[in-house]
Amino acid sequence: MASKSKNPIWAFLASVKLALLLIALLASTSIIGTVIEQNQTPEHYVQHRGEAVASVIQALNLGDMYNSTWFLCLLGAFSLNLIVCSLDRIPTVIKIVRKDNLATNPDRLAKMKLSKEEKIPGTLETAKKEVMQYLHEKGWKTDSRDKEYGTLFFSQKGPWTRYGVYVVHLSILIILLGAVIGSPTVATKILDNREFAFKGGISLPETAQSDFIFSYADEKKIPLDFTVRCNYFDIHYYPGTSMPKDYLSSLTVIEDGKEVLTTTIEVNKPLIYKGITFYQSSYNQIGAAIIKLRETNSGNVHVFPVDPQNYSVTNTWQEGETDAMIRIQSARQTQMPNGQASTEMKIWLMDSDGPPSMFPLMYGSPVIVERPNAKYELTIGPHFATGLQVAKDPGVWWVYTGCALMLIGLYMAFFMSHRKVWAHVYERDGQPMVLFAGHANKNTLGFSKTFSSLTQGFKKPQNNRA
Amino acid sequence: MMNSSQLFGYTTILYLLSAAFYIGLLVFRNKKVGLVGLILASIGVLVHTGALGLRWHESYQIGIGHAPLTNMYESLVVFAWCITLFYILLELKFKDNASVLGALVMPLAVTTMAYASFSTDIDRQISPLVPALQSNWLIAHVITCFIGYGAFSVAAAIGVLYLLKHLAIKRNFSETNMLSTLPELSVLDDLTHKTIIFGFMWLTAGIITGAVWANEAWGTYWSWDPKETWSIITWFVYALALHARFTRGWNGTRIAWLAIIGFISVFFTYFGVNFLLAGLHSYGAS
Ligand code: HEM
Repeated sequence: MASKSKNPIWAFLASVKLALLLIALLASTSIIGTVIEQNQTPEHYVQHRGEAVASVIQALNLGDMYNSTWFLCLLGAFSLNLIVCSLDRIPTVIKIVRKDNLATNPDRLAKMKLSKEEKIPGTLETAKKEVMQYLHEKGWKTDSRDKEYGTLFFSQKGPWTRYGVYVVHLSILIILLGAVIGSPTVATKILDNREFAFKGGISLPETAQSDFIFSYADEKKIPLDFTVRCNYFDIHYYPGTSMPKDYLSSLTVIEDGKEVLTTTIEVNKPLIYKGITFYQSSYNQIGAAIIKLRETNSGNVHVFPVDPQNYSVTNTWQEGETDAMIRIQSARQTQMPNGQASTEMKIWLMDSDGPPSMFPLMYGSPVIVERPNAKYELTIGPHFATGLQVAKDPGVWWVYTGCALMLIGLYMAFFMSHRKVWAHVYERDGQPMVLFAGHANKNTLGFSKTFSSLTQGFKKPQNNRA
Repeated sequence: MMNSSQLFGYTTILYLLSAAFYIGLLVFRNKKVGLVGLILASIGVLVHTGALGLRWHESYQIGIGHAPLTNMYESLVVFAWCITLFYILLELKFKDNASVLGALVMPLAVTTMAYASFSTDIDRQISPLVPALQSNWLIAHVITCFIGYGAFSVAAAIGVLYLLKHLAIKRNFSETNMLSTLPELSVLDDLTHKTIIFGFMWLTAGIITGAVWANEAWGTYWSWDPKETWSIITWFVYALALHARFTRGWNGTRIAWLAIIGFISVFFTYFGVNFLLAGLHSYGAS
């Protein structure tokens, strides 16, 4: 493969020795970042590791080592090595795949590890037909070419599996490319377009909305070209415990003043809109109370924040065709059975289907209200803000494609092989003969079994005839 | 009514007996002894499978329903299941050439089960899942990783046997030596290589499913958290072994050592990170 005219730099970059060195370096240096806590303040390192070590950490950027220049250079060198090495070798592979196997000299077939010669009764012409038909039946579609003493048949399976290794190598490059495309750093520093790829977050109080988020990198605002609203936030618990089972936020996307989409996100179930993904990541309580009504048939939830200074406002909503409204009539401090202070409210609820309902409501304990055409579950509880992580990663599909290709490539490289079968049908002293030969680039043991059953299968019917 | 911990107990006993028979095979070189070992291991795996299924069922009965793959105890038990199952399949495929390996693999399975069952560091309760762990990707991720780990453990075991046999030959030990029961060096070498290839495929799938899951849950497919980093280190070690063999013709002792180094890395990915370093994956935290 190494041609004489080859440039020594090219040869170096194409060498597997370099690859082994780089892989070993990547593996060993990666350990550092698992031992030294990442992304801490300089003071933290001084405190926990001492001045001397801290200065080394500072100098080599070991506090953020996977983004440090030297580590990225290592990855770059690795990619370059991979590209050059593959470019260097692929022409040879293409030659092997495209090789004209009918040009093989029949004399060489007999010297191959897998070969078998048989006599065939009949004439040369019937023998040719028989061999061709037999191979077809066994799933080996043949091409043929006339040779000096007869005809050479050839058939192969999986020549393309030779590309498996290169599919794997390419997939690594695609994954790395995807990582670059999706990198907020690249978007900010190289593309000068912070909206191209970012990671950030926003804390949205229930009923509040926002058309921007804050970037994690620099805490600055990144505009969205739409608005998201948090309708409500909810925590589900495992029955009878205080162990959270799920965190949910109901989000509505608003564009040009129109609600285009309402959905509930959960941990592990984000909302993706216009390439931007909203993840449920945290929550916090923002003081005042909020009333939540869930209509139990439709599942619709309506929420109304309570202003402690001015609680007796009338809130209205629509449930199906019906208009409905709710008001806190009065509120007074009470004591719960366990002695804690609490607030009891008198609620007035009314819709177009009958006389108003009046009932008491305590902080934290739900009440069911039956209306002629609706049934509400009412709670008054803390007013939450949902913590959303917001990411735009245009590289993620490159990464996923690379991952899929890698699995396919590995399968091709490890478990599939390029198998060839030749059959030379010729005449020796007036006796038609066939010489089978076979070759596989991998799993030679398995292929030798296939080959011997192929040749033996050819012999059997003949013996019957004889 | 039987519960899953009893079944796990029986599993451990069956594995222990199986290990004893496999060691017997090494000492007495009687194939029947090895066959008993294989049968005991197979019954053990069946009981083990039943126990896992029962634990899954029990988790639904107490209202938290999830696959038994979510804490250190469950992962150890699944790990032992994977190595045993992988080993049995290997023995069925490679017959006598593989059977002595049981003397190393089955004790590993027993140790894992015993450690899971008796260690005071390990909580054996079925506990509710924190929201981040409630994902089908979790199942895919854990299973693929553990098939890989199982294969790598077996590869390392073969590597150790290779080195022992190599040493015995070099020192000219007598023919009656126990290690002469082992297959030829070239067979062990080939088995190590094949097992590493198999494991590599699954580890790759494990890392990928983990990345997809992380992206679903946290919006980042890769965050260099210690567990992720160690998994990629492990992946590099085996990639190194494959290239050294394929393109530079490394074999024999060097591949055996790489199989062992790879296993140390697996071990660190699996335990070291949980017990020594903090991160997303320290079970139960997050
Ligand atoms: C860690 C990342 C890498 C992975 C996962 C990978 C994967 C593979 C696989 C699966 C094979 C087939 C091995 C076999 O059939 O046993 C292979 C072969 C090979 N790899 Fe890589 N590779 C990586 C990095 C590299 C790099 C950086 C180079 C650069 C020189 C390289 C050069 C080669 C060569 C020359 C072959 C042999 C191809 C042949 O002759 O058929 N690999 N690689």
